[in-house]
Parts: sequence; structure tokens; C-alpha cells
Amino acid sequence: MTTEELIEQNNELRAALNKENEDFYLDFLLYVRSQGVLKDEQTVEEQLFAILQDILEAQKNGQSAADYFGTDPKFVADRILQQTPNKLSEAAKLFLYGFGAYIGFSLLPSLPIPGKPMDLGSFLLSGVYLTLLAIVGFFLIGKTIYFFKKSKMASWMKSLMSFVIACAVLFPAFAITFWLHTPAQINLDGTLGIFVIVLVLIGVTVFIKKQEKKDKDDDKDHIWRPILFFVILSAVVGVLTRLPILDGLLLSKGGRLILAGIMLAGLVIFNVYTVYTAKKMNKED
Amino acid sequence: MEHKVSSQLLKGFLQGILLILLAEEANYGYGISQRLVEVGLESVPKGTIYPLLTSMEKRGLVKSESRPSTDGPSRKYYETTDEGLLAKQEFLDQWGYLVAAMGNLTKEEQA
Repeated sequence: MTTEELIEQNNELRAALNKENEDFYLDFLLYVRSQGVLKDEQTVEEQLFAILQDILEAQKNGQSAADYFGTDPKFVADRILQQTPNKLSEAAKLFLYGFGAYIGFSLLPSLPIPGKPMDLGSFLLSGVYLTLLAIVGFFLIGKTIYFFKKSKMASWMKSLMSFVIACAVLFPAFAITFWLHTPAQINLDGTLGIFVIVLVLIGVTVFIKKQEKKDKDDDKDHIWRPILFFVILSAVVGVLTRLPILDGLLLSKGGRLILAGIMLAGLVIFNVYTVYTAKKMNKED
Repeated sequence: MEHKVSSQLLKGFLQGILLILLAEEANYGYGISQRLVEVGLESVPKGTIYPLLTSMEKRGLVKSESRPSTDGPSRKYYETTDEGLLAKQEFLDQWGYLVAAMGNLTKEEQA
């Protein structure tokens, strides 16, 4: 089986676990996947799948996952990962995927109003930082799975700690975007701007449609719709503000206020649409 | 009656035990765990089998292959390799030597 097939089969088979065993296995799965970011994904997924099949068989025979597997799943996970070969190309693939997603989804919303050159340097640096942060963050969140279970810290304290850490690590991304100025400035007004916007819109739409097709079997394809809505809205506003016919109207003081209002309304609709879609998917689950 | 064997003690023997079981017949994770229970090793946390099998495969003592299953997707079966059979024999020789030595010691203790 390919890695994608293993992950899909894992998702399907997990549905047969009872609540207690599902919680046990999910902690194990998330820990292994997050700590195995630099490991050969195929090997990791094969192990996870084999263990899931065995836990299911233990469940059929009246044994809980904890009774079968033992009381120290973290130890077992660490030992499995120790034996799994590293594959740096996986990390590189992950980085490129994340960075591509950042460009695809962040470029259009940052382009609606022409007239101001875009600081490509700080945009890309921010992207590199956020992508690396996402990968490192995924790794660190994995570490907390068994740490928080053992920790006697109150639940509210854990949440506060997580919030403070999240703010601290996200702050540099904002700082780069707003305060770092590089000489790599690019003017995306006029026809060039329209060309870039249309190109990025096509790329993002093709990507989202591919993902929707992939997720259709799990009925999770509509998770992409709010994102597609916001991307299309940003693209439309970006193109309209660059059309010579509407130039004077949209870039006047009143026009800018209207545009800001449209983008704000778009953001609100995006958030409401996201929450609605998430609730709908939870109900279907 | 369940006997609890010290995990440190068991650590040294588990690989040898798995080699013996897999030389008898190829098996998968849960199947191996059931054989361990049958031979009286119910207290071994079965999760420890997985990294040990991975390590043994890495060292060429066992090999794995996917085999169809009657109740679901294919399963990963392990079986000993020629190197594994040699390692199993070495383990049995060392075990015989240890058993003899312990036998002498306990005779002396009782005397």
C-alpha cells in the first residue's frame, strides 16, 4: 500500500475502536506522527497501521488497548521511532508544501489595494518563519501529548500556557510582516498585478479542487469552501482595483473605505462559514 | 498462574524468545502476543514487541511481508531469516549453558 492508502485505511479502521481505545490509539498516533516528522513516512504509517489492526483484534477479544499495549505507550513509540530511518526529503517535501500553501493563501489577501509596492522579501521571510514554525510546532505539540497526561497541572493552567506560548511564537511573524523592510520590493499594480492575481487564483483553485476530490470519500470536501470563497473574494477585489476603468472610483477615500468594508465583511463571512462547515462536519461524523 | 518476570531480565531474553516463536511459524504482532501468553509470558507488555521486531528486521534476523487476512486488510507477518536461525541457535546454546550453571548454583545452595 502507498502511504496515502495506509493513512486512508487507518482513518477507516479507527472508526471500529471503542471510545477508550480510540483515545489511547489517537494519542499514540499523533505522538508518533509528530515526532516522526523527519522519518520515513511509509515505514511510520506501516507500523501505525499494523498496531491499529492488533489493537482492534485485542478489542474483539475483550482486551483494552492499554491492557494489550502496556502502560507506557510513549516508551514504545520512542523505541519504534529510534529504529525508523530518517528521510530528510520528507521534511523538505513538508516544508515546500507548507510554504506553497502560505504563498497560495496569503498572497491574494495581501494584494487587494494597489498603489503600495509589496515587500516581497518580508513576505517570503514571514512565510519561511511560519512554515518552519508550523513544522516545529507540530513536533512540540506532539511532545505535550504524554507530558500533559502525566503533569498534575490544572487544565486552565495548561490552556493558559499553550496560549502564551502560541502568542510568543506567532509574534515574530507579525513583526516581520509589519516592521521588517527589505529592498526586495515589487510593484504589482496594473496588468502585472492582474496577471499575478489570476495566476495565483488558478493555482490555488486547482489545488483546492484536487484536495476536495481527495476528501470527497470522507465527506470532508466542504472544508475547503470557506477558504476558496475568501481567496476568490480577495482575487476579485484585487483585479477590480487594478482595472483602469474603476481605478479612480475604487482608490478614492470613499472607495478605499468601501473596499475595506468588503474585505472585513468577507473575513466575517469566512469565519462564520468556517464555523458552520466545521459544525456540519462534526454532525456528519 | 501468572508469573511476573522482571522487565530487565526479560529484556535480554525476549529477542531469543521471538526468534524461537517465529522459527516455528511466521506470525504477526497480535499472533505473537498470543503465543507469548500461551507459553506463560502474559505479563510482557505486548507493545514492546513492535520496536523489537523492527530492530530485529533492521539487523536482518527477521523479514516481514504483507499477507492477506480473512477479516480485513492484509497483515504484516514476520518470519526468521537464515541469520535469524543462526542467532536463535546461539541463543539456545547460551541458554543451555546458563541453565546448567544455574542448576549447579542452586544445587550448591540447597546442599
